[in-house]
Amino acid sequence: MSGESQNFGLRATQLGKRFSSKGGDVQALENVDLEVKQGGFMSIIGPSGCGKSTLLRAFSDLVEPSTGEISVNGKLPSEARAAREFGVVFQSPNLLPWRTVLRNVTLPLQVMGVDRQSRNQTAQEMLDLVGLESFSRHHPWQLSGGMQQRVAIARALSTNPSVLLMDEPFGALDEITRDRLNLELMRIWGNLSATILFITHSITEAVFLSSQIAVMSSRPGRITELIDVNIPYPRNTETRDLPEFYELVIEVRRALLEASALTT
Amino acid sequence: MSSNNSGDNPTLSEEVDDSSSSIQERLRAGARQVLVAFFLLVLAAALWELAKVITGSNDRTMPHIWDTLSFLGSTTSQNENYSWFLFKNAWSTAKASLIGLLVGTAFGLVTGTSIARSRFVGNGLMPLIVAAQAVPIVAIAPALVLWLGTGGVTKTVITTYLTFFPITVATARGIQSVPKESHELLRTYGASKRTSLRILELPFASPLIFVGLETAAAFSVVGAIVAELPFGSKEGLGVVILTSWQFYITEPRALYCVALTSCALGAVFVLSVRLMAYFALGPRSQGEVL
Repeated sequence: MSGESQNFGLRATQLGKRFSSKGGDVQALENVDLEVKQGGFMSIIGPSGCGKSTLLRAFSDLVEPSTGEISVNGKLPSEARAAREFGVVFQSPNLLPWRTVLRNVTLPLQVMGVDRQSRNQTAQEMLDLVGLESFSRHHPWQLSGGMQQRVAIARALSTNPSVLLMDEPFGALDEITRDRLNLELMRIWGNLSATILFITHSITEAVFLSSQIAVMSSRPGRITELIDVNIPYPRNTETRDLPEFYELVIEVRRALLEASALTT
Repeated sequence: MSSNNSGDNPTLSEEVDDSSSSIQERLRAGARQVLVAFFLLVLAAALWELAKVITGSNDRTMPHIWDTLSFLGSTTSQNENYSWFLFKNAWSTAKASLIGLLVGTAFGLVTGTSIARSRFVGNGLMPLIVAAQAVPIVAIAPALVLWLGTGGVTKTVITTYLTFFPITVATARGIQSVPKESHELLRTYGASKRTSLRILELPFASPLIFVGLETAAAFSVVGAIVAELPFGSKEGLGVVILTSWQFYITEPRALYCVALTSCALGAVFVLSVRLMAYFALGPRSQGEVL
């Protein structure tokens, strides 16, 4: 890849994905162009079934693109995966119920072959980071949904990735918990300076977190608008009271309406 | 998962479902289970005596419970205590059962994993295995004895044959029900097939595998006894059953005693598996041994 693309944490050029099934082919993604600078926070928002998750799964090497190019830190997703350059947080916490919280966080390190002592140490540091240091010996079923998702974030961070791919990580949580975890994520991100791609259904969540928001339309899934969020970091509880915040929420909502008008 | 979504502050201790009970509570629960089991045994004995009264059976067909139990204290023609005689034979059967169970478990784990891993193997192998299970083992046991002799090999083959099926099914089903997201999670870490079997699939399937193992444990005792029935074996509960059949007209209590011993052996096997499951699965076991 060219030296220029090195500056991008994530990049997709004319990306397309077509799924074949018995009922006919589905064009999940079409001509998607996306660039996220290293250290940037990009949210993708759009109606259900617009291909947001497919886009994230293409970056995480779980889905092979049909057309176009895609890169993570200037590398192919498969190379980036081998180099452990990204971590994925799924919509469900996806914890292994027979493992303690600590041993869930050490899972990726265990697969990598890191010795027990240093992987436990790293995992404990990650649990400190997400504020669950005293829960390392608990089992997942002893934690609330929000705490479980924080364990999942700690697990994704344990390999020290420079890119974090998050697929509606707080989608299943109630709004109060979600707001609190958004603050938490901002604090964690401030300590890490990782590139984040964040899929969400929530307009306020997208505005609160992101430096840039990509609005998607469905069938075929494509990016219809890119909105810059010019609210300075670090963001905190007062951010949600700013007039700019409201203006942006309105702008994103309008863009979403336009995107859905394209398909109906 | 937890339904408690009221907040997310880790300092709120009510968020944490601390259901690991104290040792005292567990012992009390265990004692209650033993009591229930004992009560059921007494109930079964009472039903036996009741049936005896209702059907008007004589002591030949249905000896009294206490008569049967007292026979355990009698002496054999070799001048041996009858309980000790039964114990020695049960021990021999137990060894054969255990070997068959171990071989069958190893077999079942391998076949179950292959079936779960490959649709091709699964579709081809599963009908054959199911069909093979429908063959009554008693029917082919004499043939097996002719091929393989009356020694340990025949016993092991028969017990393996009976035990590997439940393990195979349990392993295959368990591995097949690993959620897709968990597979994807390990894929993003670049885990090899072997690593994912060790870290994800077998641990995920283990509660089910232990259920299969419980069934297999009971089958292994039955298998070993059946293998001892046909001609030529020198010791084991099967041999004792065979001789007790011959003397049933004159002494029915011997047969009931050896039947009870077989039950007890089966129970010991199944309970040992449950105990293993209890320690191996931790909070994922039902927490009950009996």
